[in-house]
Amino acid sequence: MSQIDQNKVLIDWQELSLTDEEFRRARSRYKLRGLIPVMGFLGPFLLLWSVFLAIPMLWSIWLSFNTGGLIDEAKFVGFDNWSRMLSNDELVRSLKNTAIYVVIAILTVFSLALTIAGLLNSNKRGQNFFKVALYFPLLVPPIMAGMIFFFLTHYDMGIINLVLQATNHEKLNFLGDNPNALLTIVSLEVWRGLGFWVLFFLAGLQSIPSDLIDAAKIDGAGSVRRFRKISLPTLRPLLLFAVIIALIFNFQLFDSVQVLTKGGPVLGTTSVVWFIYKRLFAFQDIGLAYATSVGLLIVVVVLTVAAYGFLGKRSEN
Amino acid sequence: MKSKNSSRLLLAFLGATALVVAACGSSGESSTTETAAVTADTAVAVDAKPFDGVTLTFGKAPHGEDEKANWEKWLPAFTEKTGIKVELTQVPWDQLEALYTASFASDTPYDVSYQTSTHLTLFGERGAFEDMTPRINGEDFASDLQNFPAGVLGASTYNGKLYGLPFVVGTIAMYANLDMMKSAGVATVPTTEEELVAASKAIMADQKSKGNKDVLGFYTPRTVADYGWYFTLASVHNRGGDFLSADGKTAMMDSKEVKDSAQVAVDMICKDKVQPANGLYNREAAIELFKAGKLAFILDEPSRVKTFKEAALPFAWDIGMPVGYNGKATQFATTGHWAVAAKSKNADAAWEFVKWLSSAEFNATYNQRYAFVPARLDADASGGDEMLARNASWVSVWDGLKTSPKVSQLLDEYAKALEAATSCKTSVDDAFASAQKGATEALAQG
Repeated sequence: MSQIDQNKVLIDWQELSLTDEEFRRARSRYKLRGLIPVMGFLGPFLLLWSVFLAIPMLWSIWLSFNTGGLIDEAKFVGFDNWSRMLSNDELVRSLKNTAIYVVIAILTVFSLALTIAGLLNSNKRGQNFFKVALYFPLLVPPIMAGMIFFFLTHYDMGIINLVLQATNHEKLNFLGDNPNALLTIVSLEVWRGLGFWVLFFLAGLQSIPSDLIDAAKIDGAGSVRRFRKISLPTLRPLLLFAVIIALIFNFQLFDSVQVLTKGGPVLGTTSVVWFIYKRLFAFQDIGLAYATSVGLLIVVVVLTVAAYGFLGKRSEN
Repeated sequence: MKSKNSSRLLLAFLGATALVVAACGSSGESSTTETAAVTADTAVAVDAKPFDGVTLTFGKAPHGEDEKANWEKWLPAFTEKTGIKVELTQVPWDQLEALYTASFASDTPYDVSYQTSTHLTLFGERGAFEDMTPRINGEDFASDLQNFPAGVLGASTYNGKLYGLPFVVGTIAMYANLDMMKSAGVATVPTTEEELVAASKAIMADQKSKGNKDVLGFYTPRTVADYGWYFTLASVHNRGGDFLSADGKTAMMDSKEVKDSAQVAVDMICKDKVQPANGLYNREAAIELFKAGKLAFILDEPSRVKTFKEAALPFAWDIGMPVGYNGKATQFATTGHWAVAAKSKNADAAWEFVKWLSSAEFNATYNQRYAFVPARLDADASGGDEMLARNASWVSVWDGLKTSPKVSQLLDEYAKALEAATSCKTSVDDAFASAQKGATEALAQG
């Protein structure tokens, strides 16, 4: 009886098993069923990412090998735009200005932000007031911020020159002389960005376990030593992220140049994005503008990888 | 039960209303057929307004803060006449190229737009505008065409194509503070570069002796940001030169005439010190200096005549031609045009609008406010103002910018060199050698 039953069971199993073809179809259906919710969640993002990032980026790369392509039809010219880009004196100057600006701005804003964040972290009194006060400039529209600096640095009416004059010092030509103009732009961008970076580093400092600091205090470490040996190494992963973000943002310098100097005096504040803007719209040199855009993207990616390589390895160590 | 009754009442009411409306409609029709005169009037009105119901988009950068308000006053007359509605978009000057590029790259560009000589062929040669040559040679424009000077039409034509109908011709005036001149013993408004430097020095010395040590002699923009080229190229033309060869194929940035003219500008700032250093005052700040009686001479557009008169400046002033060289004084500036988009879906209505904008009547109305010189000879924009009439007469020596697709880029090269040289840190030779290189590359690119 049991033998017969067992055979029956075996026969049933055979009837129930799938052929190879059926199995393949079932597997596809199963996979598809699993994919639908994934695509449901990722779809909207992928759509936006494609429309606003991937397609424009691919389109930019394509246009960098063409002339025209906005108002008129694109015409393929091979590497012509790329070779013109590499030999363009104004672009070389723009790249130099942008590099100087990026280095000075990032070093200044990070030093100030770390110092202020350290002070706020060690002194809780009035912390909220200072956080709001420091963040406020970031809420000011870039054009308005530019106008504020225009009036601050105006030769005749600017507060800075009025103070210099009142204290028997010579007035300064802030926006009409080099390197004053670039330094004025650095000051404006540092003023605008300081609040964000203070909050960013303050959050990092506040996440450091207090027992580490207390232990160091008991061991007799002073505040500078504590910052150097505990705070800074703990903040390093955060610093890596900050450097990468700051590089990406600062290489896009444009607003303050447009409002304050229009790239002058004598190309002293021409940034890469300003160069691209002028080529693209004022001269309709579409191919060169797109080649420079893609070139800028490559520079920023290379610098990001380099920063990751340098700071990332150190934080791992 | 109550609600059922209410529904029936509502349906009955709607039905009755529909019947009444239908009856009114039919009685309206019959009354129209009874009055033939009304029908005839309507037919005439339809014939007179072939574009009734058409809406045009119109893009223009403003020549004054009140321009938008003025268009609101001017446009209803055109709509009344033609039935065409016009939607104006004011395009800010500093975003003009970006906004125009976006507009002309789209399928719905501004049907009609205002274009200066620097942008007319920049966009036109890329297919943004329709060539107006067949339209201006049409019968409906024959009587108007004869009023446009050949020189103005020629400067706006590129490779036989006219992408916009000239509307205004720019000029530049030298504003002079007559009280300062009188006090310093300067009898007449300077007419040569040497006279200008001498008069400026005399005025600065005189004012300094009176304790006004901040008074400056002369100002004209020399920077890229303030369109230094616009105010300086007349001096090159006065010397018989240009920044570009007559056939438009060769850059002449390092020619003797270009460099000599730049050297005069450099000397005024760096050697004679009658003009403030670049960057101390931009164009608007310098205008304020003049209005405040702290500047003896300034070059600017004639639109300031109106604003200075409205401001009732507290001193006597006058305008004169910008100074000449060796007995030759020319006017250099750009031209403003009305262009019709090649992709316009209402091109004929747009042409109708361009004809109205270019008419002698509208030209006079517009320029009595904004003080440009009309591009057509039969429009009097002086409005009885002697200064503006004098300004209009300077068209006889007008030697303005010839439009070409590369002209913006070439002018940028010229302006960068001028700014570098007048910074007193780069020699004229070096600055303009660099401009020559840049301009040659730009032209070679085609």
